[in-house]
Amino acid sequence: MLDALILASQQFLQPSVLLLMVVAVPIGLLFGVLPGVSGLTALAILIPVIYGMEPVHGLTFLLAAHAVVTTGGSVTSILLGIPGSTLNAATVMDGHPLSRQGKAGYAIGAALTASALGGVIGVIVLVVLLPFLQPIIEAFGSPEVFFLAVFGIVFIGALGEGQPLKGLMAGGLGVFLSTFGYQGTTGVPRFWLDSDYLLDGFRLVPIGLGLFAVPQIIALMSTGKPIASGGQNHDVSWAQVGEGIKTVVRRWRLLLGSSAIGTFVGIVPGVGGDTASFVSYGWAKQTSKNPDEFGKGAIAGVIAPEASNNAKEGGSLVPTLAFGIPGSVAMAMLFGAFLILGLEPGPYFLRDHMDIALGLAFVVAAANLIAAIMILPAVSHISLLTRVPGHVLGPLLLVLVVLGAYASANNPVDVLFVFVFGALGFVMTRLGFSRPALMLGFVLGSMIETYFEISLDAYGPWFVTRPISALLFVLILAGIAVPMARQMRRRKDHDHG
Amino acid sequence: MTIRFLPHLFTAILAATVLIALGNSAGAQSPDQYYEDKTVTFVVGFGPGGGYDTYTRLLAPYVGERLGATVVVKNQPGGRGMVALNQLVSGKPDGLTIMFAPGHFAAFAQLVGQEGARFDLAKLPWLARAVRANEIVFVSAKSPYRTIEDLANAKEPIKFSASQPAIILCRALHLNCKQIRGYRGSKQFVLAAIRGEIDAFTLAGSSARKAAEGGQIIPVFALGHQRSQYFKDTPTIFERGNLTAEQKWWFGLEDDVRNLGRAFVTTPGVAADRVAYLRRVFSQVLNDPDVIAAADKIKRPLSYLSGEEVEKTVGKVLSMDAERRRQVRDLLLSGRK
Repeated sequence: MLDALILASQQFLQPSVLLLMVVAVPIGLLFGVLPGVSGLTALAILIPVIYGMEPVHGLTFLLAAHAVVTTGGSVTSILLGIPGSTLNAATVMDGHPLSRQGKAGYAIGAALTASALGGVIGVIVLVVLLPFLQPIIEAFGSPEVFFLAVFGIVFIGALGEGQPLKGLMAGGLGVFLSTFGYQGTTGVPRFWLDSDYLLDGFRLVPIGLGLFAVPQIIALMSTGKPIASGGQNHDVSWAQVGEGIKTVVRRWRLLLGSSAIGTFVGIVPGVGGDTASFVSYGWAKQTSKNPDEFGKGAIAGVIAPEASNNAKEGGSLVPTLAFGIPGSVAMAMLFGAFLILGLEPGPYFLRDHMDIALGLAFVVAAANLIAAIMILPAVSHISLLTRVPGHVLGPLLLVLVVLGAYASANNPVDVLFVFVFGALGFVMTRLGFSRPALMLGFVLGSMIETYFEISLDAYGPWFVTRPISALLFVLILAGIAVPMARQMRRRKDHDHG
Repeated sequence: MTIRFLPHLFTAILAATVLIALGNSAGAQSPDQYYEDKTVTFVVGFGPGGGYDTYTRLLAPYVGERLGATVVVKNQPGGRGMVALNQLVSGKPDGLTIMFAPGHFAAFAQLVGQEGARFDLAKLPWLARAVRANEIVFVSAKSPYRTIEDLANAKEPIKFSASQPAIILCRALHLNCKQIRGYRGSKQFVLAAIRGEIDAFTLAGSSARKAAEGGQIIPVFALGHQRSQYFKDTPTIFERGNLTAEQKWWFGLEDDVRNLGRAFVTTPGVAADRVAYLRRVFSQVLNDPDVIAAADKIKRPLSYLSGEEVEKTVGKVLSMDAERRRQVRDLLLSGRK
């Protein structure tokens, strides 16, 4: 291990590698800032660039760009209330209210620091776990993925912004929307209304853009007011940004916990990164002393999802490297890049190329730090966006949103559905239903159904008694019972007081 | 009056001449002139990054070079390639849209009358098959099975990751199988086999090669007539011998459909000379040693079959009698609720 570490530093601690990261990081950030355009698109566009590069250089370039996409996305989430990628949707809940209160610098400072440190922590956890990866992945079968997904669903109530019932209803609608198109296990299309588009069901990108961007654009254009008009006009100063950075360091336990959740979700193949930030958010809220502040601009609601978002990147490298089996679509593309560069991940990759694995982990960590260092000085300028009058900002955003929706799959129907879900999002914001809860329900709905059926087929009904499954089951029960107990106690205190 | 009429007549004649000349030139234009400086679209029915996408992007520049045309690749994901195929069927017959289609998947979809399949493969001009998967049956090292005999004598149901070849295999050999459905793509079921969640699965040799290195999944035999170039020691089911006529029919069907592989196809109604020209160009590209080497380098091996042969195989598969068709349909749809 030590040899590999030395070899890795020899290969990756070169000026040329660092320079490539400095080039790649702004590209990744840009993809993150653009709504609807995800890390996947970034990889697809960048892969042709690496032909002919040295393996170390090529992988550095791709991984650095990919690892920081969510960092860029956090900025749009906070400033504009539009998640730059669907992974940032959880950040909107508390990040955007802070912007409206004129505390954009504070929120962005915290988000960037959490992203950077989360990314680094994720990598450290990954490196520590490298020797034990195989047993970890082998322990996580379909039943465990199923329970993890259920675990995510439990947090839907917590996303309800103070109204758990409305959160549950929104989540239920999300689950319903996830049932459209091919059923996961039988391949029979449901509710497809004879339309080719619906064969695959609804897509995440139009849902995300529609729910979050369209209501925001409507508000901007109908009032004509800038985003930061609600509260007092704080100056977006360095002091504010510094306060954000300091807060993250002060809340180190929150940071560590969220990063651990992110890494864990990344490692388990099949759960998908979309869940990590929501689960962290829910966890942060449920363990908070003041859960009522969430949704109104609690800084913990920014730190938790952003830390876990970046932490999961380290985790999702694991199945790719350990088995040669990509953990996500993005990793599958990265896998293709390995082949182009003449490297082939497989069962022996970690044994034969531990240096490269460590080097890549280092790249992810360094890219996260570089990204934060690059954006932080510009935060005060970027935050001026919140002072732009709505009737100017609105149309600009509309153009970006339509472009982003189209670019995600080259499908004009996606653009149409941005507006369909936009109408839904508008109604939901008016009536106080949680949009992130809907998204989480949507993401987890089909996962729960599919993995439940696989578990049942492969293990029979007693899959619940597998050790890790049983543990997760207990945690889920606790996740439901503890907040209920706390609420009851508080109500009792209230009655007596 | 005559004088006023003359200019009109003159114009009319002129116009007619121009039109005839234009029509003639269009008719006389040879296919290689036609493609010169045109833009040809290669449609991929899947998202970026997967096998279909990688192959198409690999081949596009070579085909473009031979045609003298610009080839652009367009991803049109949806319905496992069927959405793009549905659109191709109603496309313009100008020969400028070419799809890299999942021939084997589409053939089964048409055979069983899958919802959403609105195409008739027999009516499409097939240009060439580029890729053929040599499907191999693997068992998990954590399963008690190692040989065909083990599988045939299994007391407990063999947990198979459901796929068309697996379903046909179980039926033909009368194996005691339990099809596990729901894995998204080969990566997931290979992992499931490594964990011991499933006992067996079928997968193209090229995709399984690396995962098999660690000994966690073990090849048992190859379906089809040819051994996989990556598993040369693994015998085929036909080599095993003593197959009944019925078994041969089922494995033959599997082999035929597998033969359609991933193939290039254009819109119906394209002029015959253009189709012939495109077939020639694809044959040159797919047999070009440089192209083959480039594909091997990224572990995406090519396997050419002429457009005529693909067409013949499509005809053979789709012309089975009604009774057989019913059997295939019942078998492949049996796991659905």
